[in-house]
Amino acid sequence: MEAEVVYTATRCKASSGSEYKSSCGTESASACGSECRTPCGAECAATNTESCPESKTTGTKSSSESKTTSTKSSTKSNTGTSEDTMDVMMNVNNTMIKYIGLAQAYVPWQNWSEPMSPEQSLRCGTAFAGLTSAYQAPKGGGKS
Amino acid sequence: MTQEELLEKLMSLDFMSLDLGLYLDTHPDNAEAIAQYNQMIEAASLVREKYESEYGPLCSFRSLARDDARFTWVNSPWPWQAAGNPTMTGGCE
Repeated sequence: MEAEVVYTATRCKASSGSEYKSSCGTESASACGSECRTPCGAECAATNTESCPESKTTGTKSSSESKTTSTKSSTKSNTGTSEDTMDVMMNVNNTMIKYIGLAQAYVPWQNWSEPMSPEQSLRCGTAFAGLTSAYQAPKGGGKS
Repeated sequence: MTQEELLEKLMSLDFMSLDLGLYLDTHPDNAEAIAQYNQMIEAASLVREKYESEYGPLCSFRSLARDDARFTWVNSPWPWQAAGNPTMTGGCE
């Protein structure tokens, strides 16, 4: 039997230091397999749902009840990142955690591409145009 | 080529061979990368040879001491001196 586990902001904050609430009804993130865990998100703003194959949970809801629709507008936050972008980043983060795990580094495989000229490579700090990532100082000189 | 142009050329070739070497650390079977790496190493050796023959040794332990009577490495520009740092006009675009 599958149970739909709901994590809310309240439950995130209640997990006392852990970013996760196990679907097994414990506070420990390691009590269940990674497929049973759902990160709460950086600010616990959204309600996340996830299916857990082991039905030992409390506080379950049916799928129809637990589906949450985001109605956030695409306004800019004070960090200069749109909320849509933040949503995408959180989704990517959640997926990485789900399939790879916490504290496991993942670097995408680099495919061969024709290097830039030696002069341009030195200016860019990399021989490969795809790795060019110019540093952009935050507005206000980085002071918060 | 001026001294600065030669030095910038050498720095770019050395950087290129270093970065291609890093790529080969994770892609050791990439023949194209190996070919380009060797090309950069050979080109850098030629430029290094030309620079050192005209302007003196770049390194205190790897460069040939061309003057039999005096060890001239100390006469070369130090890294913090302008002559030791090409202007590098233009950015990464």
